[in-house]
Amino acid sequence: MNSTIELLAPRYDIAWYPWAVQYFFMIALSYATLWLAAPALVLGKKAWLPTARLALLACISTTLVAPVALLADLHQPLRFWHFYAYATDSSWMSIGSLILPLYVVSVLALTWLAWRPALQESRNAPGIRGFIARLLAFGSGATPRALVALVGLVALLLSSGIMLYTGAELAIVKARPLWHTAWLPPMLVATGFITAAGLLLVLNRVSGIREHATNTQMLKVLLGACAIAGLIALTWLLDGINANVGSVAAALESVRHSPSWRNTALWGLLSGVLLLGVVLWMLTRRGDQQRSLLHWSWLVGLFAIHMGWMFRWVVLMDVQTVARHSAGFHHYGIPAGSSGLLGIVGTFGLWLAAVLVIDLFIPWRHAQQGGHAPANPVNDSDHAAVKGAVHHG
Amino acid sequence: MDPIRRSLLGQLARLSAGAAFVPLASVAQAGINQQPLRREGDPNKRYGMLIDLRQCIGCQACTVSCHIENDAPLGKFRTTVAQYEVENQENGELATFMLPRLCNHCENPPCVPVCPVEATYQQRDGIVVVDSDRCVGCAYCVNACPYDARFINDKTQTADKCTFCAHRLEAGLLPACVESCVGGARIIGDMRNPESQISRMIADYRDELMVLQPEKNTVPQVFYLGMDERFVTRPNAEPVALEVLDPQGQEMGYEFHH
Amino acid sequence: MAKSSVNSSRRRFLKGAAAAGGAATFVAGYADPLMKLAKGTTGSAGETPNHPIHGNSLAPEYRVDLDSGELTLNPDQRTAFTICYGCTTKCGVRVRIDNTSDKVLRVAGNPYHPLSADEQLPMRTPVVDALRSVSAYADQGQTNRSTACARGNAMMSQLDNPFRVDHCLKRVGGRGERRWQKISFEQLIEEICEGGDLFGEGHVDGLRAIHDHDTLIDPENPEYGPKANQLMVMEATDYGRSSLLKRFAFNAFATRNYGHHGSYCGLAFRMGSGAVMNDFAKNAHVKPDIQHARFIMYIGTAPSQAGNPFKRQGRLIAQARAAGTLEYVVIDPGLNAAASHADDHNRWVPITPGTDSAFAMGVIQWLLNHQGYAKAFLELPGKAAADAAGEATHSNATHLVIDSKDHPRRGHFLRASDLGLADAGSDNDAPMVMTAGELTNSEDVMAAELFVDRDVALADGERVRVKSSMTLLRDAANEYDLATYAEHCGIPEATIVELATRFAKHGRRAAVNCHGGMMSGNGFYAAFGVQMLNLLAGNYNMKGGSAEGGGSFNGTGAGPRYDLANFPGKRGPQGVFLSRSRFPYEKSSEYQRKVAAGESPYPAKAPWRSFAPPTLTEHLPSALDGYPYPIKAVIGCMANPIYGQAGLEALIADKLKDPKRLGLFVAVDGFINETNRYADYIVPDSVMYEVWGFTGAWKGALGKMTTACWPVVEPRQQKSAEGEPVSLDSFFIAVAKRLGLAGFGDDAIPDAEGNLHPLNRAEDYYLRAAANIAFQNDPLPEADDADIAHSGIAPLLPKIERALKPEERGRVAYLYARGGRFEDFNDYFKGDRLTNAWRRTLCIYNETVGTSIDTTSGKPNRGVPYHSLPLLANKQTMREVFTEEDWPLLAFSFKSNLMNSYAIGNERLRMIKPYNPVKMHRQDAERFGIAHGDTIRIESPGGSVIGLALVSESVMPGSLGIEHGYGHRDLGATPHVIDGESQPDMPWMRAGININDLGFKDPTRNVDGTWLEPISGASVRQGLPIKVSRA
Ligand SMILES: Nc1nc2c(c(=O)[nH]1)N[C@H]1C(S)=C(S)[C@@H](COP(=O)(O)OP(=O)(O)OC[C@H]3O[C@@H](n4cnc5c(=O)[nH]c(N)nc54)[C@H](O)[C@@H]3O)O[C@H]1N2
Ligand SMILES: Nc1nc2c(c(=O)[nH]1)N[C@H]1C(S)=C(S)[C@@H](COP(=O)(O)OP(=O)(O)OC[C@H]3O[C@@H](n4cnc5c(=O)[nH]c(N)nc54)[C@H](O)[C@@H]3O)O[C@H]1N2
Ligand code: SF4
Ligand code: SF4
Ligand code: SF4
Ligand code: SF4
Ligand code: SF4
Ligand SMILES: [Mo]
Repeated sequence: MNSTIELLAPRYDIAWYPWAVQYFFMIALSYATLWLAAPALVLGKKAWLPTARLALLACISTTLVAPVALLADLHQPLRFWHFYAYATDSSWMSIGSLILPLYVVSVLALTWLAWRPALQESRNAPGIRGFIARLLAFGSGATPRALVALVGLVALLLSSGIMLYTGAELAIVKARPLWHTAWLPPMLVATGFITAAGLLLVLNRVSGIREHATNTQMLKVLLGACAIAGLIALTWLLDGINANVGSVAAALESVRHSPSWRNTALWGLLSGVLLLGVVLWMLTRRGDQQRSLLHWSWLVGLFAIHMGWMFRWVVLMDVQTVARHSAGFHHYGIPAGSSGLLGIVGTFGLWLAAVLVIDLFIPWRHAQQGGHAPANPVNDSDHAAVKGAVHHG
Repeated sequence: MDPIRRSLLGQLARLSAGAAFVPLASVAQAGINQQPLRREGDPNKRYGMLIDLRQCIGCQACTVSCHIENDAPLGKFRTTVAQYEVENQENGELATFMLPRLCNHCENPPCVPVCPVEATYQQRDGIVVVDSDRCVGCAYCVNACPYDARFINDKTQTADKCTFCAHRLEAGLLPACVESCVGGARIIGDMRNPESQISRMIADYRDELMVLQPEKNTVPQVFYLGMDERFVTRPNAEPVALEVLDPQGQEMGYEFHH
Repeated sequence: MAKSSVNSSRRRFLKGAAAAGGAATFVAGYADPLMKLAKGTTGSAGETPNHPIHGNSLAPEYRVDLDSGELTLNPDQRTAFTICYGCTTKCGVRVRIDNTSDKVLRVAGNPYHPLSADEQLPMRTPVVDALRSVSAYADQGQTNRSTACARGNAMMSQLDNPFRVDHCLKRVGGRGERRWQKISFEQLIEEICEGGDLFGEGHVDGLRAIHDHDTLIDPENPEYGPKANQLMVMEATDYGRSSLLKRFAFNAFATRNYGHHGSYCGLAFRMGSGAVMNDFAKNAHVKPDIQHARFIMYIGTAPSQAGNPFKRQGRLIAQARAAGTLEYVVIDPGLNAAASHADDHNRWVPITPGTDSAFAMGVIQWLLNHQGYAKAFLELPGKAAADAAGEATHSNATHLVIDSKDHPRRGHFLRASDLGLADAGSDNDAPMVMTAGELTNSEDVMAAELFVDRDVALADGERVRVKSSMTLLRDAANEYDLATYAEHCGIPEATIVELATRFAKHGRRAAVNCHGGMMSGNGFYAAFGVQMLNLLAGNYNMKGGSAEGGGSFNGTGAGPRYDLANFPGKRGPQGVFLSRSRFPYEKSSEYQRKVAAGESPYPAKAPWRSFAPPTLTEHLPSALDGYPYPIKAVIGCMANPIYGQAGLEALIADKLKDPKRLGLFVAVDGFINETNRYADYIVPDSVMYEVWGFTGAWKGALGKMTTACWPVVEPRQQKSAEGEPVSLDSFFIAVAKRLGLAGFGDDAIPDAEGNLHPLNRAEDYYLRAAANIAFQNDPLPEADDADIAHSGIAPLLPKIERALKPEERGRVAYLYARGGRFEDFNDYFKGDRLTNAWRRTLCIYNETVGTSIDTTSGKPNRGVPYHSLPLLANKQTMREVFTEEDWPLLAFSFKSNLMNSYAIGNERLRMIKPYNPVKMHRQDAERFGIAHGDTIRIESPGGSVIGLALVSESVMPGSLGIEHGYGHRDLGATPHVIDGESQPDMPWMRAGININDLGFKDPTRNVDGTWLEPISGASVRQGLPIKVSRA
């Protein structure tokens, strides 16, 4: 018990609401999945094609949802145009506001190019699908590989901009020591890839595609991302362990004074180790054992997603509850309504809707890396699901 | 936080250690996150405040008069006075410590450059203001201020903060909190005018004056006399009890919670 | 295939549905942003403030050119000077008002006013200069401020408080059911005056029936006086209108029973002080001259936490800290705002509640044994010597007191007449003193022996023991050794010695000050002892010592323009107070009967207090129990004893509900508080800024001053048929006129020439009082146009013209333009002495006390301070009845620096401090298994409350501190139903606890009463026995 007692101090609310978490979560998925689609789309790596299909689906859907969440965190959403009328080079948020639309457009373009051949194919499909295909195919002209690669490169470039600005936006905030570290941006990216890989593992399962290659590839990505994240965390810690100001000091102080922060830290550590362990274990299995294990890799995926989201929640929400010039921690209970739970669920709802609509009306499953017609027709996913056929790739 | 570190910061916090009047300090942060050009306000003035803690009686007249003068929403504050019970490090005796706080109108304000639309800016007289017509309510500045000096005003849905009562200074009047400071602790004035009360007091007490969170290099322009080094940074204290109980002992929560 | 296509279409349908569902949840979740987007089309998702940079900040009241100092008024606003009702400090404030809406915009201090300004402006300063003086021009406004405290700022919301009573109310259903109907002022007056079956509960006597001066209440006990005494009038305190209230109560209706809050405010202290200052009529008291004192002990009073005057003391102590001129200690069970960590020359010394007599006597013992007293001053035996020494007064330290046990003159001073040297009561029948072994008349010598203890022969040859006052004091001080005193009060012996040493060291610039902390079970003798320290220091009337203060300009006496004290047909009240005060029990019929019947007259049925003032603490409970006599009607004005007196509600609530015990209860108030909740009628009164009146400084202002209050905004409440706002003033005027009482209506106020003037409206009275004040001593000048323009008194001028003579108007305007009349700052001192001096003989020994009899034990009271533990009515110590085993802790209360007893309705104060956790010492917490932040139950012999434990070391072990101002049940905390419509329910106004709910009935009394301090009858709120447990 402390001999100094705080008798009177104001209560402070948090400034950024869970919308911020949703944005950081969606946008991270967006850029990370883009990179996972890249090997096939840009470098034309056949082996990555099935993964790329899922990745692109994830990328385009999250890319569409992210800005919606972002807008909601403005108290004056309809003034979004001020961002462009009064762009400010000193503000990472302003810079972000310039990159974001370009990035969204590039992803749209890339996706269109990637899907175009498939669209052209299903132009004479019955009903709406055919109609939409006809609409979006824009004639029967070929889609040059180079163009796909080029647009892909541009998108990748812009996505790096997103990685940079989302990270920097937080890292430059001196007022929140826990954010104010150069290690936060890379950590956001690393956890972004963990989340993305996780998502693809899940999609691979729920889409019924159940691509073996995708599973192994994503597990490898997970392995890599986890390792890097772990490394970043470690360096961050060692880097600051002896400093008595800065983010590590602040973190240690929080952990020392707050049980909930202790739990959070413990949880982070354990889940990290657990994930790493499981993934390692799965990858080091051989043959059929691995094959049957990989059926469950979607569970690993779910766990990875939860890590990615929770990390962002802790960073964005919990850090805001650390008092800045008074003792202890401010109370924050997630409200049930729009600014809280409902908002969170809502964004996921929107994303789900986006994915399903695409799945309903767009032949993403047939997408090729630009140009060539399919060598051998890919089974319709519905059948695949029914048959539960295992693919070779 | 360990005592050594505190007194280090205490040293840092002292004006004599150059914690103030180093406009160049902002240049240190070159490139990105550098403050846009100052606009408006009288370039020949530099407003600051000196708070003589020995004269603060914790009456909260400042808090209330500011709230009325500037129509802050209930439960949100442009200025506050925290109250602590502290042990004297020499003799172990307990006493009451009052800590009035408001915007420091920092020489190197981290809240300004982050604004994506330059809605918040620093006037040439040093006063940091918000243009509520331009503000998009992104709350980035609220997070960027290390002193909790800003909030989103629920009425206007834009950022709000202490303006040093610029509207009164312009009229040759004193800010509400200064005017009604019962203990006579708050002194505001133009620090470029050597004759002003604040300039004279800064000259007299230079070595004793301290600022808050010097390590953040914000170069605050609110100076404290009679400050305990342990309070220049986040105090290491038993946090305030925020519960509000009804007669049956049931927690009611804060009436003005938003 | 078919199967699969069915399958697939089902799957497609499900997907579609899921997508729709997802979209739906999104729309729901996005509700807020969507709304903001919609609202945004207007240009902003919120309200657009008046100015993009300054938001909705108020428009400045005027502008001052910082170079020329030229001042330009804002035509849309006015600034007027009047009073703040935020607490009994009653500061003069400047109120900013919006001319179009008549709304108060903000409040600050009146720069002419000593209670608000650092150094108030000379009275003759033009108002425009006064306004400039609080501006930024040449930093004037901050080198010499005039402020209003947080409450003073927030209180403006009282005007539009949703719980304000703005209409005459008559109760519906039983008393205290919180149901009302609105009635007209005229109906209210008629029913109150004429009575009848007003509530369908049977006949109720109206005031007309009660106003009977020909019939005795009780022929058995003629001293009780006429039936007219069965009307009891009570008020909080003089908020400026008491003189009108008393004119009605004492001199028009002429009831004996008027009471105010004194007995549950600080009476034990006031009488202890009165004992030293030899003034039980007014119980005069002093305040240290903080600016020039070198060492002050604050014992049970906390400048800047509370204290009166709150602002002035807080500011002076703060300035003294910065200037480094003063060293002070705060002797208090709890740490509070008075002890500042930002400066080293002050210190908190914890003490156990209710034990101050031990501390005081300990210090006295040390001072006496170490010559730590103002020897030369105390040796002055009489006025002659004092004059010669250039002292304004002297003490009775050397006077000899007859100390032979059963001698008829025991306790009296040995006077010249006792030795046959003068006729008893004659001018030269002065007390005798001893000089050079000779008995001499105290007026005949310049110095006398301080310590005398010997036999002397009286005129009749009888030898009696005489002791000097000093000897009696020393005897009392030596009754216990220092170690015992230390043990009782919990202050280490070493600390007592250290403090005594410092006190002595600073000589006549050392002072003590006490107040609310003396409201304990031995409060009178504690305060007597504490104030004795001032006398031993000889600091009365000294610069840097104890100041009596300047008093006030009395406008309601027989003044230079009008005689407001006398009027044709004026009466004086007769008979015994309900509280049996100021009347020796030995003169009562009850006493005579007992003696005649050969039984012991003691104990009396209930305490009689021969030199205590009438005490509201006894009035109500006694009246409801019909001892000494029952009453028929109560009119309460702005008083809330049920919230303010420990244990009162539990004691009387049920009796108060019973119309047979009390026929009529009328409350005149701006709000429905815990007390007038039980009223039959509520008269809506003006709220601060709307009131008339004249107030003085409570104390602590060195100069003479009077605050002039006038309605700077139009009263918001109901108006009478004549168009006058219903208020305390119009109510008593209307009642008096209806009953045809003298002193009201036409021909009620004689002027200097003897012509009579009407009293039909408030201003008829107050403006004439203003004329008296303006014309006193050297009359005030006449206000010029600039004064009028800058002081916002334009609305007042028509009234002045209506009521006053042409030659009076200008000077009265001058008075109101400055918010009162104030003695100039530089007239406070003559050399090292205070201009306004106390001239009565100061008492080491108080003869009145020493010759009085305690009516419960029949024993004589002690005439010098002495130490005793807190006592119950029958003189058992509280701990004998409520043992430490059962009630291990002692609860004490301290005022909130923010929230007063009726401020809870102010959102801006609730916003800062919504709740009052209780202070508890770590040791006790551990003892009872309680942790910081635990919810605890606090039980006393009288009640039980639930609070939040704030565990620290900032409170005396064994005691529990409760901040006063919370734990309301009314004033908005519980909705009332008016004309079938319920007030809003505001649960947060019920938050917190009130220590008075832990007060209790004194089990040793025969007539019900709460625990009262024996000598004064003051409510005991400090040191209540309690126990705590985790709730
Ligand atoms: N802020 C504020 N100021 C006020 C008022 C208000 O309502 N609020 N009211 C005004 C009024 S009406 C009055 S009478 C004055 C009263 O002003 P004060 O007398 O200063 O205030 P209290 O709170 O009554 O008691 C003073 C102190 O006595 C301490 N105390 C309690 N028990 C004991 C004890 O046994 N011994 C000792 N030594 N100390 C003890 C309490 O902790 C408290 O700090 O304040 C005036 N000023
Ligand atoms: N435990 C504990 N008890 C205490 C104290 C303490 O410190 N601790 N303090 C004691 C002291 S020092 C005192 S003086 C008493 C005070 O107690 P009282 O003087 O009896 O009553 P107050 O609570 O001051 O309130 C007077 C009433 O006036 C009414 N009123 C308020 N403002 C206005 C107005 O503007 N116009 C009109 N017409 N009416 C108004 C409200 O109904 C309010 O309830 O309490 C005492 N009781
Ligand atoms: S105190 Fe905060 S708001 Fe004020 S200038 Fe400094 S950083 Fe900005
Ligand atoms: S809240 Fe307004 S002022 Fe603050 S950063 Fe955002 S736009 Fe700028
Ligand atoms: S200067 Fe004005 S805005 Fe700033 S704290 Fe004081 S009163 Fe409030
Ligand atoms: S008004 Fe002055 S004395 Fe009162 S709390 Fe504020 S700063 Fe302190
Ligand atoms: S001390 Fe404050 S509340 Fe009391 S009268 Fe003065 S200004 Fe009003
Ligand atoms: Mo009082």
